[in-house]
Amino acid sequence: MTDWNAMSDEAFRQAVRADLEANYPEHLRYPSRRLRWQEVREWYLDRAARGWTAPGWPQAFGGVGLTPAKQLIYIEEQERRGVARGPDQGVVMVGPLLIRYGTEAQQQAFLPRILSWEHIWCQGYSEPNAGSDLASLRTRAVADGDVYIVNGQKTWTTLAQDATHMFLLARTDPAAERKQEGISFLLVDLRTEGVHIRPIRNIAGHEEFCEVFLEDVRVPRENLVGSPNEGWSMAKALLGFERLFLGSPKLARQALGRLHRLAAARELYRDPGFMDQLARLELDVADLGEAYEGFAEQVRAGQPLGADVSWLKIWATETFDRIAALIVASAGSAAAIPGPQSFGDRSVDVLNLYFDAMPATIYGGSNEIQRNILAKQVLRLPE
Amino acid sequence: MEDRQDEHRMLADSVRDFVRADATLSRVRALRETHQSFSREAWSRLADVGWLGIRVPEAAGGLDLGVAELAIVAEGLGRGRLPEPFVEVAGFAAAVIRSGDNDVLARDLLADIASGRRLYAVAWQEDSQDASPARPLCTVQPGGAGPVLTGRKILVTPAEADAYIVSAASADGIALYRVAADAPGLDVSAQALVDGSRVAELRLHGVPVPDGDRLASPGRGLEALEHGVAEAQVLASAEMLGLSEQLLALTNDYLATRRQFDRPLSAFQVLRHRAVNLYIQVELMRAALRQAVRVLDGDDDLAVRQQAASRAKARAGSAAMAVAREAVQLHGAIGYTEEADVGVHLHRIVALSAWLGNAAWHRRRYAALLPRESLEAVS
Repeated sequence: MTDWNAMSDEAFRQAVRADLEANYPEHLRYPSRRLRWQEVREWYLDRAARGWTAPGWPQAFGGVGLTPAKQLIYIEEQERRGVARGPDQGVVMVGPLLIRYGTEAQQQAFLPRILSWEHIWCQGYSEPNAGSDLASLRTRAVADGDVYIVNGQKTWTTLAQDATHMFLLARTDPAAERKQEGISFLLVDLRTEGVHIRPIRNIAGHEEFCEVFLEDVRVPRENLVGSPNEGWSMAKALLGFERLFLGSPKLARQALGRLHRLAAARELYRDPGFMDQLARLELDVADLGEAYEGFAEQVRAGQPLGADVSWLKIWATETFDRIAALIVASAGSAAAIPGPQSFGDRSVDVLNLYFDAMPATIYGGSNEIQRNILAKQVLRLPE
Repeated sequence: MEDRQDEHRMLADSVRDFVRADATLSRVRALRETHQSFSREAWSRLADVGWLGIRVPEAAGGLDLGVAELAIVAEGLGRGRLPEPFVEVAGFAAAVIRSGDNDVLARDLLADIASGRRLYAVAWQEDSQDASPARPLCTVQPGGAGPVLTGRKILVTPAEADAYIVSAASADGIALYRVAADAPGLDVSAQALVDGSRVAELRLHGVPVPDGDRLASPGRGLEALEHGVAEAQVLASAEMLGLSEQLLALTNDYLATRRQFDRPLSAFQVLRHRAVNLYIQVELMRAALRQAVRVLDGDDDLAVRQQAASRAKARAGSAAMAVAREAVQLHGAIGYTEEADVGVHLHRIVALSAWLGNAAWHRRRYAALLPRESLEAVS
């Protein structure tokens, strides 16, 4: 078996790049929306057959066991190739959760099925009245014999319609003093009676997330992860270096490429007003890339990320948003036409990034919440 | 690498101690009442700690270190708002002098800079709209007793320099000359800028320049200037980073201590978010500067250095101006007064943003150097 970690970073990068160029299907590069499981299934099953579903998991649990530095390279190369994201909550969240807090029985029951994609997981955190204020969630789980009976509603659940399972946060002790206490982690099979999934159509006309209704859903007690009422601190502890990727320059770079394509087609390089806006955005993305590298160095060195990484998410998503807005403004009257359209011999989708940029400033902790975090934990401003 | 990081931290600490021991802000205010923009005594203290010779070869009494070290000092002095023209002389003039092709003269001038004995100012600019040194109208022509310089230079800083490094066009290209402040045929008139620094206008009426005073030959002069300008642009960005860090700190202190409506101002979310926006601007400046310093210490290609310099200066120019403006607003009416410290930093930021190309000028140059086709490929 190849010892990937023993390779030099550059050799590993070249190996990953060559593999993606040879094997990742051309028609799935840089998709214009989040793809459904049926569309990406073949690619991810192929990955699974080669043992590459979970690059970051330890080898003892069926992962590749890459160091953080190598994981970062793997992710960067996927971004570079424009690889479509799969329904990865099992790999990113449930696996690390069970490896750290799960029983041996839970690990044996779930981890192999994540690796094989037999189980596809979705995340049950947000609720209609618990978004930024997640700790005020109201979904209840009441112990009854050998099951918990779960009642409540989850929302903004990404690709729940493709999932077989959901990991969710539910209130198990309503009498707890602080709202962060009394919350537990439960693993729910979505085929259980009482689960209803309703896709939500978004502003771009796509169905990427869902509402999930839970009505007297009976969840085996052995599906509670870790200790009861400790769900909140476990969820916080799971926030690892994934926060770095919320600040990745990839979306902004993709949008900048799109802007250049439109600029070339419409001969905007002759317009000094456009050029000043373009130069501003180019600099915004270049400095984002440099800042991202600074945080990536911390990850590579195995250091935990500080609260300051929140500024990267703000800058990455707001820069993406500004570029997407300039694409629309640069298309003239054609900006109202949805989908790819022809400008001379170039095909350009003017609107999809404009819509994609909108949730980016909201998900993963809205940019307003990120500013709250920075004000409190980095600037230490008294409240 | 680790060692250098430790050394850099120690250097930054000693700069902080240096400015803390000096009543810099009251000196800036006191100097405004005089016709001096800095103190020679403070200048020799900078020489004593070795920082004036950071980019000077050891043979000329310097430390022979990189742009990284010079930028650390510039940032720290900016944070403390030291009035002495560190970037202008130890950065800009030293870089131009080092890039010339008269080694004997260069060694003397660099030794003067490192020891603090004399200050030199680069006299290259003739048009306040143009930050490129490529088209001087000032000429060097044969005279009866040797070559003479004729022309006009503006915004030469510091005006109090002991001699100027003057660029002049000849039939063979641009050459650089050392011209003493009291040279015959030279008229110097000084003017104070908004930050209290003083710039000179030079009028050269056939100033004689013996061969020994030629720092760079016509084949070398423009390149030497361009290298020096790029380095100075990066160092000015470093000083603006330091100034902005200090403005952010002053503003956060004010928000945390000033009480209205029975709460500190920092309890208001709208102000907390605005303070975070300033913090983001400062971090962006830091990222752009880090990249530019790496390029200047690692790549000799002039076009690459110019692009990195434009990137740093475009970011620093716009971000520092935004931070300064917002710092005044967040201080309320007191921020508009002469006695508030924010104004002292704002004045310097206005001057440095305008120097060697403002943000709009650098964005134009940066855009002109972009490789467009390669970018379109990833859409």
